[in-house]
Amino acid sequence: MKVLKWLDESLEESIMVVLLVAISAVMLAQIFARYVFNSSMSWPEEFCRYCYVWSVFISLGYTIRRGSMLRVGIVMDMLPAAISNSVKILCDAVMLALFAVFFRHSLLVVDNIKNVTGEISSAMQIPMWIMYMCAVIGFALAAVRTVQSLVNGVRHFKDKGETTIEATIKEARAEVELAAQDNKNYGAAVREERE
Amino acid sequence: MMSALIFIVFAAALVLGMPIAMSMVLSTVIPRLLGTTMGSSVNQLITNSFSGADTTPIIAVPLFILAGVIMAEGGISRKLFNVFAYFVGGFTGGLPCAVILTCLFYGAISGSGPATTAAVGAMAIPFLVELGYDKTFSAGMVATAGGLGVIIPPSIPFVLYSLATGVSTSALFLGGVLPGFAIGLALMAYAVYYCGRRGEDRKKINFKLAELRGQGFWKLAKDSFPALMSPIIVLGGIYGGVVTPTEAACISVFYSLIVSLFVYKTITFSSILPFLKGAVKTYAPLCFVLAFAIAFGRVLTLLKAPAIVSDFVLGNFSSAGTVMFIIVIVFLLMGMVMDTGPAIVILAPILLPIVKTLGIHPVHFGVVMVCCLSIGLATPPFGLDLFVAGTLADTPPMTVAKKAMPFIIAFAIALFGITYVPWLSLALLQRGF
Amino acid sequence: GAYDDLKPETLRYGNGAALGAAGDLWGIAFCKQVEKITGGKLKIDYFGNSQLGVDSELQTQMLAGDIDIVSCQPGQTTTIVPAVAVYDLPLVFAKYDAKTIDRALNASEFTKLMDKKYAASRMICLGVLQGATYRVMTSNKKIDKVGDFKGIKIRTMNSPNHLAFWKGLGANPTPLPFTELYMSLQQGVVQAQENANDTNLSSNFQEVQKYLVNVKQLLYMNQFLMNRKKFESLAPAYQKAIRDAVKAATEEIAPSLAKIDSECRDKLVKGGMTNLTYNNAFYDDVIKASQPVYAKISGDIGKDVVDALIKALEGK
Ligand code: NA
Ligand code: NA
Repeated sequence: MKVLKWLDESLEESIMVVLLVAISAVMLAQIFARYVFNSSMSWPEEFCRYCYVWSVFISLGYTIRRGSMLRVGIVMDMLPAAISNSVKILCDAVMLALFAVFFRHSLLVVDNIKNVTGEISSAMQIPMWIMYMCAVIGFALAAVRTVQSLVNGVRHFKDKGETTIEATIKEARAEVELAAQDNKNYGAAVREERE
Repeated sequence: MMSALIFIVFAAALVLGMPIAMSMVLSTVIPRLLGTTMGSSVNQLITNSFSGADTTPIIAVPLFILAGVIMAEGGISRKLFNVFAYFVGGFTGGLPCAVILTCLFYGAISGSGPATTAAVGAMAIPFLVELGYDKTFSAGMVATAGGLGVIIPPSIPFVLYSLATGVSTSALFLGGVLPGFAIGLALMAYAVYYCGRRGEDRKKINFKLAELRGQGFWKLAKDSFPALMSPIIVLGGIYGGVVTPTEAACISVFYSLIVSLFVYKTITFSSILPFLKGAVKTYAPLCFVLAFAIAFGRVLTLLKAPAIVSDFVLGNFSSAGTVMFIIVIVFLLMGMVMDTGPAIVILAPILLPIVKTLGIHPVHFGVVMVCCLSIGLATPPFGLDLFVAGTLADTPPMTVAKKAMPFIIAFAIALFGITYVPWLSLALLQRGF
Repeated sequence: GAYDDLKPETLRYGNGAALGAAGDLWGIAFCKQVEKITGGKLKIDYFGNSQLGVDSELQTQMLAGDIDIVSCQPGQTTTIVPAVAVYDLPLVFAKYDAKTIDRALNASEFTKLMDKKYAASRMICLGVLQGATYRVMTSNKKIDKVGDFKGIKIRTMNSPNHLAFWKGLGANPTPLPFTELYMSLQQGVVQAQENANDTNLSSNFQEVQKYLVNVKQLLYMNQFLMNRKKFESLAPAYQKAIRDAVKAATEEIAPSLAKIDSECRDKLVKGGMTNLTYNNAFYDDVIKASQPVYAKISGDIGKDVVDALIKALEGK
């Protein structure tokens, strides 16, 4: 149960955090190598690129789970809950169908690269089908997350959902909280200085 | 015809509230859904979005966002503000101007508008209110000036434009500097006019100023030195021939981390994980949209849509001035209801060849597009900067928007200046910095 | 004529060459030839200037059947057809004239061998365009002897063979995105880069580079590639039309390549660059320094391919 809860809340986030750390660290190492040891390696650039590609496909599930995909919500917000919720369920259903199709085809792409073209990456010489697995995993996670969203939508059909304004305000508040943290720190520092 | 259908499906899906990325996905599968061989196969859409993500310059986006998240907690905006207040605080409208200047210089650290608004506003709004300035005025000013965060380099929207068009990021970064100052000046002009007409509580202000100046310039300078060094390290790194823009983003992550951990001691090692999560939260919504925009663009190319648009525009308008005017107006309108980042990624590759034919420099065009995006962050009904400032001032965003209106107009005047005076965008570039 | 009974077909052609570059002229000439030969029965939907993606993406899409024809330089083809690395052999073409190279690449035992290699990766190479011109190093540091390469930061393609070549000379090869290259040269992130002269000119590198260093490290060549299954599925008359059109386009464009190259070079020189030329002793030193690369490539793709190319070039 605990594992499931963790997977539900943090699977994609954890992967993306690990990838971000990997990108930052390897890129820093590359800069150092160029200036301190006067020698560039060929793999770091490619490694960082593929880490980012993985984050791109993993971000699908992450943003669906958080309801943070970029959208234009202004029209739906003006309609009554029954209509906007129905449209939302419809959109989710269409998205689920799209993810299913893209999942199926990403398997075909991987299969084609693995068994037909045999492409390898130019610097690290890693088989490209391994890199393309991010699409398979990404679309699969996205489909699962969309099912979650659909179930949620049906369950809370009666409720007025979060409008785009509310979502934006929430986002704004998160930005503000970050900055406000600094003000708290500042307050603490001033107090310390006075004491 | 098919491209028109794709655009209609795309627009309809957007209106129905489908995410931008998924609206693109849906519209690109239409030709194959109808059984034609036009456009791209699903396999091709997948490989194209893969290669859309597979570029080094795009990695600057998550890195600049991560650096911004760390900076926000570093208390850098206050330190910058103190320096500017020290110098200009004595003049009429001096403190509001110091806030705008802080936005300008914070913009040289942060690559995002809302982050700049939040970092500067969290410090400046309570400060200005304490000194007797109108709360909504202060919020409106910060909401508008926060947009400087994306015009002064580094800037995430410039990275997006560069990705979409292949124009060099470092060239665009240079292009943004003078326009950023021009907009800053326009905003300060209104702030001075407003304060002159409304009057200020000079007694309170002078008291505060004396307190600040009492610390002595050297203490302030010492305090703000690591903060002021940040843009020098990032921009100096790029233009001093040390690093590429992407690598500069990486450097700024580690610089801000080191400064916040060891110099200002505003954060501890335990806060690094929340920073990483915060950064992921901010850039994740951009990731797939940007990658799939490439696949979307390829479908339009295969259907010859760019050529159709180009023939239409060039057939009906022959002057660069008119075309630029129309593009600016369209982007201003779009900016009212949406974040125009994805619009830049989709439309820039179509529009750039057209305006290039009319003699517009690619860097100049990029600067104009990013300025439009920046103003959109503050225009009602939807603008993230507006919402951030509203939250900071505990005021409804629409109320903030009313007070921000004169600032937005000042910004728009500067925008048209930037549109019709290419020199502003190109002067530094041609100097060969 | 021969095409009356055939049903019209349209092929999708993606070209990785920049607008107006040799490969682009070749692609456009091919389209015209096909149109002329088949009387418009076979149509080519041409997308130049990397509109459908850069070389590596074009190849992937071609193998997946989403694009039918691709032309590109061989740098990225090695990731699919390892034997193409034979073209990475440093200076292997340097002492031959265009005609000899053309025979070796387009009509020799080596051609037949390579045909098998391409076939193993489900593609067919219908022709190679070259004019005995080379990718040229441009630099801000004067290179007089091999020792001068030491420590120079040069932007190259991110390919192990290219990196190995420059490292062997003592340089510090640095992979960078092409879009950032101009500014990186201007700012000094790197001091040198290597590309064909038409690319150097269209990218305005004369504004940020002082020297044209004619190392002749890599032949400036474009391949005409097709999805093999697609090619074989076409009516024999169409197949012949395509082969003939490639040949005709090559005959039309190839002779002008040397002229284009020297015109571009002249413009680069006029723009302030100094053209550095070298004697045989210099080239011998470079070849000596790159023996490990020869060994590496021979090991990777088999000595038979390397030998076949050298034999073909020597006209044996
Ligand atoms: Na900025
Ligand atoms: Na807006």
